[in-house]
Amino acid sequence: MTIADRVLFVVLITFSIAGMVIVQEAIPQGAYVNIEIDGSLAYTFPLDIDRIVPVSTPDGNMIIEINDEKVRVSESDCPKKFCVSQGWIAKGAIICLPNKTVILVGQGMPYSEKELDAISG
Amino acid sequence: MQSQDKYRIAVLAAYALALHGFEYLLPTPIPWLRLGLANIITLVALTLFGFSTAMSVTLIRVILASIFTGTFLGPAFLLSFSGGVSSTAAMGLIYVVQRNLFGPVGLSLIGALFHNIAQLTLAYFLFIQRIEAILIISPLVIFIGVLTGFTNGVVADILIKNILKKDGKTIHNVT
Repeated sequence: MTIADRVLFVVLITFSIAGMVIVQEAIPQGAYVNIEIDGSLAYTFPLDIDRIVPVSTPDGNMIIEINDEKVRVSESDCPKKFCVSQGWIAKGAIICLPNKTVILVGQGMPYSEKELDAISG
Repeated sequence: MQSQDKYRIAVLAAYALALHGFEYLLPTPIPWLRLGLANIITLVALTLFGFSTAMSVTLIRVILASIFTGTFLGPAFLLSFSGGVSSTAAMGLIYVVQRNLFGPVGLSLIGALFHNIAQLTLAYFLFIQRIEAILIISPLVIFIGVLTGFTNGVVADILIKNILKKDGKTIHNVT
């Protein structure tokens, strides 16, 4: 192995790890809003299309709003309304325990599986 | 082209095809992840016999492998073809211009990098057309490419040294 080999290896590893970190920080990771009710996935919406979704669960009703690549629970008939007071989120999750509902901003369908089903080298 | 060259290309292409086929059978955790084992043969061809042999071996391998797996001229073939040709071209260019700067490991890393760049660019124009999706996935793809490229380079290095030790006198690099 020559010195140039080692330098190239270190440079490439550094740049790709730096790239991964930058991507993690700079670009919003969640492209989809997944709404899970009682442990099972009920809805998946793209984060970049604004909409208002009424969600009815066996334990209560709520209204979920997607606007400007953020999501919030605007109304809920649960007793303490923690989910409403959490406000807008661009990543992470809103969890409403009384309604057993989890609103998760994440990769609903990873691009690699959705659009590239098979690539062979 | 002398008949000895044709014989070399045929043998190397057969090895490359065998590795390509073997790799196709291995399960991978991510659907698009490939180890690029056939690049070991490309590296051996490039270092021992020069650029035109390496490119011939790559072209034969990519085209025949796609015919065997039934993807000839399909999207998978286009990705495989562009990746193979651009990585061999990049490695060949570096090798011809600066022969002693990089060993097989460095050449393999350059090949892996250009393979990834070509495939990501083509994937953008042909399939995804969402630059943010390509940008999100690029560092990860290149990172994995560096790891597999490094491993292949180390294997190629050992292989080349052994071949030279055994048949060093009969090999004349023609570039």
